[in-house]
Amino acid sequence: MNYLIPVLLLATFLYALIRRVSLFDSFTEGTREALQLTVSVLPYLAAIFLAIGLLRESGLGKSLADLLNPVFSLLQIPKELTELLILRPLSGSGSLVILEDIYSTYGVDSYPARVASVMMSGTDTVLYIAAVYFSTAKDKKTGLAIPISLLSALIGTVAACLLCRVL
Amino acid sequence: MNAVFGIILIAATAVLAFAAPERILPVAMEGVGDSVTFSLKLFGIYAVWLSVLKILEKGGLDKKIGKLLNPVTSRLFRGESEEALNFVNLNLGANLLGMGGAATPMGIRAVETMRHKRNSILLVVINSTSIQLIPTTILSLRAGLGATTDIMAASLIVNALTTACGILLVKLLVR
Repeated sequence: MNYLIPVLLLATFLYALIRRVSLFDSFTEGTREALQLTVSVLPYLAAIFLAIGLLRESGLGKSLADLLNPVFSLLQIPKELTELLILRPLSGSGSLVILEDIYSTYGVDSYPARVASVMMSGTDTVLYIAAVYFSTAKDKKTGLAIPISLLSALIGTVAACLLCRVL
Repeated sequence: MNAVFGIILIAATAVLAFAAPERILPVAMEGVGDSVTFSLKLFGIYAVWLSVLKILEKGGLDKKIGKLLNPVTSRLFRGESEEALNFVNLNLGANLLGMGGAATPMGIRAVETMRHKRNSILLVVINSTSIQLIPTTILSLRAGLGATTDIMAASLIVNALTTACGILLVKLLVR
């Protein structure tokens, strides 16, 4: 599986050769788009990091986690993931931060790290997606979109915990 | 978003004002500083994958992938125009290839052109439950830290599971 991404990249570059697509142009244009994306995301990231920093420093993050831990442990979810679970539907960037935290605290190959990675890959930032996608709709009510996504995310997380024990 | 942010900000600041007032500004500033360091990492990831997507776009492969998905999407999203389905295909295609950032503009345009609310909800749920065949961001992060264990199998199963749950619930509960 180590070879997956290199093979994918190689295939893409060869595709570019065959289709006579300029690799250099693609990379400069792609990087320009990446720069615009990063710059537009930065203010949101900064606000979220600020909030998370205050949340943790004040101990409120821990209080919330303590509140939800009994529920999560009933579902076999390791307590190291509580913060991530709470934040994932709210902020993609914030949850990436916590994911990195988990990597550096427990090691990238540890059980919590693997469950967290699988859970992160199987879920996404409901609130942001719902808000952004419905922003152009005539009727802006999000209906059952958010509850359904949250429930599916929870089911996926429980599955991730079980799967990472055996896979 | 504002509600959540506001509550966190006010509650945390209130607690800190009494517990450790000298920490408020340093923590806030540290947070913003950390966001810049983190953005640099994101910039790297975005640059690679948006460039890859650019190559696929220039070669026309993204449209071909879209056409592959048509049989599935036209059945899932009943009663929508070809234009709307096109956007849905591109959105799902980009998602499958792990290029979530590229998928968002397509998703927005899809909802814009859709006729039925239940289809917009379905698209939002499918995106929120993530359908990445290859979770490029997570894999890139792990590779950067020298991970030796592999999460692909579990990731594929959980991806399928969350999306299937989502689709099922929408079809059952949304009018």
